[in-house]
Amino acid sequence: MEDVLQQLVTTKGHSVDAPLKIFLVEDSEDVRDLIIESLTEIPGVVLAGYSETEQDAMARLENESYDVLILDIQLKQGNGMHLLQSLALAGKRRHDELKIVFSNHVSSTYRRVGVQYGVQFFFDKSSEFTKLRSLIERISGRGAAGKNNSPRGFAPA
Amino acid sequence: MHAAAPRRGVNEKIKGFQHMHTTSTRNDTGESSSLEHYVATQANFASIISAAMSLAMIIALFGVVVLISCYADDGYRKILADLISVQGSSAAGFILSGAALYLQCLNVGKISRKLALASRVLIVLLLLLSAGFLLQNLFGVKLLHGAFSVLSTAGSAFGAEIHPLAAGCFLLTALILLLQDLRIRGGHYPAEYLAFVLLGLSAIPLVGYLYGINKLTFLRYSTGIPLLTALGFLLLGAALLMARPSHRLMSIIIGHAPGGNMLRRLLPSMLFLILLLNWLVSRGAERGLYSDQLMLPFLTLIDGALVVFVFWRFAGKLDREYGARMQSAAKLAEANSLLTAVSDSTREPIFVKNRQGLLVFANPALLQQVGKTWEEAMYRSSRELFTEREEADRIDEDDKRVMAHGLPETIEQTLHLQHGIFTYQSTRVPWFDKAGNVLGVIGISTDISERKRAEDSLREREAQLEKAVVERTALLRELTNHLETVREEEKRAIARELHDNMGASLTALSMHLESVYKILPEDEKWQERKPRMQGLMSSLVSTTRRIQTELRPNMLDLFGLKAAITEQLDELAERTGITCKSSLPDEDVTIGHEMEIAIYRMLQEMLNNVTKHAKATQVDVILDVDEEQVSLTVRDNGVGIPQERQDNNKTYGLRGLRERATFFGGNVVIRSTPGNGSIISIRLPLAPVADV
Repeated sequence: MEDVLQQLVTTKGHSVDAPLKIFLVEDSEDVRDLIIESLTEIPGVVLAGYSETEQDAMARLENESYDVLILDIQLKQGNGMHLLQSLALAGKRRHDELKIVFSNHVSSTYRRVGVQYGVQFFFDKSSEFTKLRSLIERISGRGAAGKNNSPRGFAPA
Repeated sequence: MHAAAPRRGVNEKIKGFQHMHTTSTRNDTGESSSLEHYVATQANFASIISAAMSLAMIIALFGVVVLISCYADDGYRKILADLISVQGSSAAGFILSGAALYLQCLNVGKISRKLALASRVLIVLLLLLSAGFLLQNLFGVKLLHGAFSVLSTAGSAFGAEIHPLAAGCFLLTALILLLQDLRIRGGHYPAEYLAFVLLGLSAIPLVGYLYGINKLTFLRYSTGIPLLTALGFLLLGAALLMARPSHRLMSIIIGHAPGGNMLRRLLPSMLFLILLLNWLVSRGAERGLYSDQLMLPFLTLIDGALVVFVFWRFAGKLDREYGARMQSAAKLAEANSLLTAVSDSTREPIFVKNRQGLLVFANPALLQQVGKTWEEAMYRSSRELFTEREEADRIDEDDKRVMAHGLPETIEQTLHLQHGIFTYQSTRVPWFDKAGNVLGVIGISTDISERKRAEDSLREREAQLEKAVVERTALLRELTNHLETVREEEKRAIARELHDNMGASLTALSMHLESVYKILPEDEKWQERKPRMQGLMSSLVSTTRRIQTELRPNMLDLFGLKAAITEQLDELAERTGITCKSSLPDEDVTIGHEMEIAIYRMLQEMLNNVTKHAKATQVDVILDVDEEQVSLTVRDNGVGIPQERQDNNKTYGLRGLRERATFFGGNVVIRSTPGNGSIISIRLPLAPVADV
């Protein structure tokens, strides 16, 4: 997993000017706002877009280009995992993107399913937002020098 | 009742009946039933015939001995004088008669033609011989002289001479043998009378020898009839009579009837007495005790006294016999009237049929049942008595079976009679004689039409009730299922509400708090509060999430039953520390959403039971799906499920399982030994349409 991260960091490092595009799938407005607010504070991170539902995400992900996909599992309509499955089945799975599941209490079953569909990181919504933020900072290449904590703090799949 | 032979394998009822039956027959004859009497007489006949055969053999042997004596050396002739006096011609006659009689005895009823022919030949020879002798003696025609001259060679004592009486006796014997089985009108057998004539003829010289009167032994002929010849004829006469014991005169003397008894008892003693007394009288006269003139009056007196004595005794015996008979007849009449009263007054049809299935007895109830008089019903078969041919045949079949097995049977039969349809419960009992032979069948029927109707209506009502119960059950099941669906919907709604509002807010709140933690004062109080707040938050979030999952298994909707089961087990393991193992099919399980959710819920219920009651440390879940059925087994190593809880319908968990399984047409099997864990297996059949 470190390899993936390293690869991403280096990719980003080569093109410092290119911002890190994040696509967010999150149905709760409060949470979404909080995430967007917090992550876009990081220099070099832009929001590629967001979706509230699986259907919408499915439609939009085809057209958007993004580097990191952060998704919740439980959605008002649909499910993040299912979205991943649908993407995989539709053959639109991209290999370079970073897939992060940011959800409450991810069960090991979901973890297994997630890994199967290419999820690299699982973070707990209630307690690990800071870790998610640190990860994004590191990938964006800006905050990595500043407050890079030990990668052990991550919750790799 | 000693006469009632114990019957094997027949119940008390029959014995009772037998008891009654034999009582009546005993009273009837004072001896035994007619058939038994017949059998006994048959046995008697056989022994008498064999006696006749031995007599015939003795006679023939006597002839042979006489013949041998005739050729004996001179030295022995003195000793054998008596035998030789019988003479060869008579000996030949005795041999022929004895042999012919022996053959006749062997051939009672003319079974063998060969034997009949052989005896005929012997008889004809005898006839020729005796006729020849008679002609020779009476008219001097010497027909046989040529033949006998060969035999009466020099040195032999073979005498061709024969007394005319002996010749006549042989002729008579030949006639008797010829006519032995001839029966004339009135059941008389001339042979028997001829045999008596033969006895009478042989008695003449015997009486002569007894009283020493030569006139009777010579009978105006030049030589007398030898004593042995006369005795031979006496025996021959007796043997001829005994050869056919079933014939009229013989049957009287050997019969069990009082007449035969008396004859057997009185006749020999009387004959002996007459001979003895008369002999004594004549001896007295010879000795000169009294003059010859007194002999006749003496004899008259003595014979008169004997006749009086015999008649008196006979009359007394007859009276006694008659009295006994009257008494038994009265008893019989009494028993008969009792039986008649019973059979006439009962409303139950009673009948007796013989082996051919013909009616030999019927009480008024039965006659009324078939709508016939006794005269119309007597000796009729079932087909003639009952209108429905099939029913009649069935009755006959039942009767035959009862007779064949010799065991009583109770049969239920419905009959279409003239005045309606009736159902009878009929008890058939084999009708035995004393020797255990089946003579027919006895039946007593009870009209159970009313009971039958009541039973039928009860059964009908039961069926209706059953149907109603089935309908209601189906309705209830439908309702349960509907409720289940409603519940699922409600759960889904609550889960959505939880997720969309509470869950989201909680998450946002905790994320906010994350930022707040950073700016918390550094003092000890706040730093100590921080983990507490974090803990509370995390517990709130996870509880909400758990409730949400329990309410609506997202995993099931999205990734199917296998994933959902795995998730449930993971969650259980995490929450309770129980080791959970699962064995799931390799391929994806697609058995229709409705059934999947049912199985998921059932698993939830079973795992719930395990955590609540089992105190288990390990749970195994096995899911098996084939083309026909899906089975889910949950095995734990806990304390087991007590029997009363397994059977108890109020145990909601188990009842719910059963309800759900039944709705899908499946079943639940619970196996549990206290202290050794439990295994609950659910099997649901996969209908082709289940894949909705």
